[in-house]
Amino acid sequence: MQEIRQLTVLGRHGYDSIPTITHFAAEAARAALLDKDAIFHCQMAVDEACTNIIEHAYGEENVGEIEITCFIEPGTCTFQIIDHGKPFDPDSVPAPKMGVSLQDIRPGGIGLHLMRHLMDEVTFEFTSQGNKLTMKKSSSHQDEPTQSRNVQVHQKQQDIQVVQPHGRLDATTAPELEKALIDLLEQEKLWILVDMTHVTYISSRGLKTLVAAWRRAGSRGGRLTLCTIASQVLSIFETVGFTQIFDIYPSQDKALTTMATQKASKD
Amino acid sequence: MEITVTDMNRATLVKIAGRIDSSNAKEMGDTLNNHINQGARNIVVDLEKVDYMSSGGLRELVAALKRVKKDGGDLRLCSPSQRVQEVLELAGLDSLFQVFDTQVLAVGSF
Repeated sequence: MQEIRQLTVLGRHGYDSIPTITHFAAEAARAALLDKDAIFHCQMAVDEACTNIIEHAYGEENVGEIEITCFIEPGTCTFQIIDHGKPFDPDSVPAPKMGVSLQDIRPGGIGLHLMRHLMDEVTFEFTSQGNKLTMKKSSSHQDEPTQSRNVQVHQKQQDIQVVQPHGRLDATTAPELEKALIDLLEQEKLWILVDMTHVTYISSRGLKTLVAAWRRAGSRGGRLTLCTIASQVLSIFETVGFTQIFDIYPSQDKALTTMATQKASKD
Repeated sequence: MEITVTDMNRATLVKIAGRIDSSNAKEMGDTLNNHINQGARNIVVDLEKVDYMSSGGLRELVAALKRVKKDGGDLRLCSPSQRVQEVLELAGLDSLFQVFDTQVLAVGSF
């Protein structure tokens, strides 16, 4: 049986209400037995949604009503947020550009962008009741077991280690790659090829992890090389100038052959 | 949210503690602006004690960064929690700010 919790923020209502609203969202997410990360994501998404409603749908504080209803079931929490402000067309908000320079950055649209990334489903409808936003979040229970499979290490010819991270390399996932790389370096395995085939995104934290390991390997007579970087990830490397630092090869074979020659000349 | 500002030789250190959302982001923005008006150009915002920051907070940080950059200064961040770092990354702002692991490194970078 689905438990329904409802909160309606009435009348005079402005940014002051945001802490109460995020608190309520966290309580609802907790009641739905979501994990800690998911609870945080729900808080942020509901915060961003309500801030947008005050700022854009109503245009100013203390003019309109926001009605938030939570549908709570074990492992899933759905938030329905209704306002009676200006009709909202999500397509009218351009997605914020990533990796642009400071002059070009437009802070608008970040809230919507965050909501879409933080929640599993985000849908907007304009009904006779007003703007209806529905956001759904489920617990990612597979977090723990999948993490250990996110980075694979294989030994290849001449003791060269191939490290294959999977998915996004960001603040959450980079520590795992960092651990794998540090483990290798501590075992004096200093020739490391990071195969980036399955990496879909890299953040500054991910870049930092690679540079730190590259430096450590190099200072101890080894080498950290990269191969098969997807084009969207490669453009991040280019933006920050890291294509100058790393040896980057288009295929694993090419990288391994070159590394084997380099290693042989050092050994 | 609590804000403590310390003027150091190399930079103005702004330590923030608590949650930053649209209810109080402007307060943080005003504090930064006041110090920029008084001549601060090199600013370190210490985020160690910030456990929550929504786009309202990000916007104020970007606005302050723009102001100091115009005059050849910089606004650098230090010790963000994993949650705040995640938000910076999702918003695509992690490449815009120089982010340091510790306050000492951030202040020393100026």
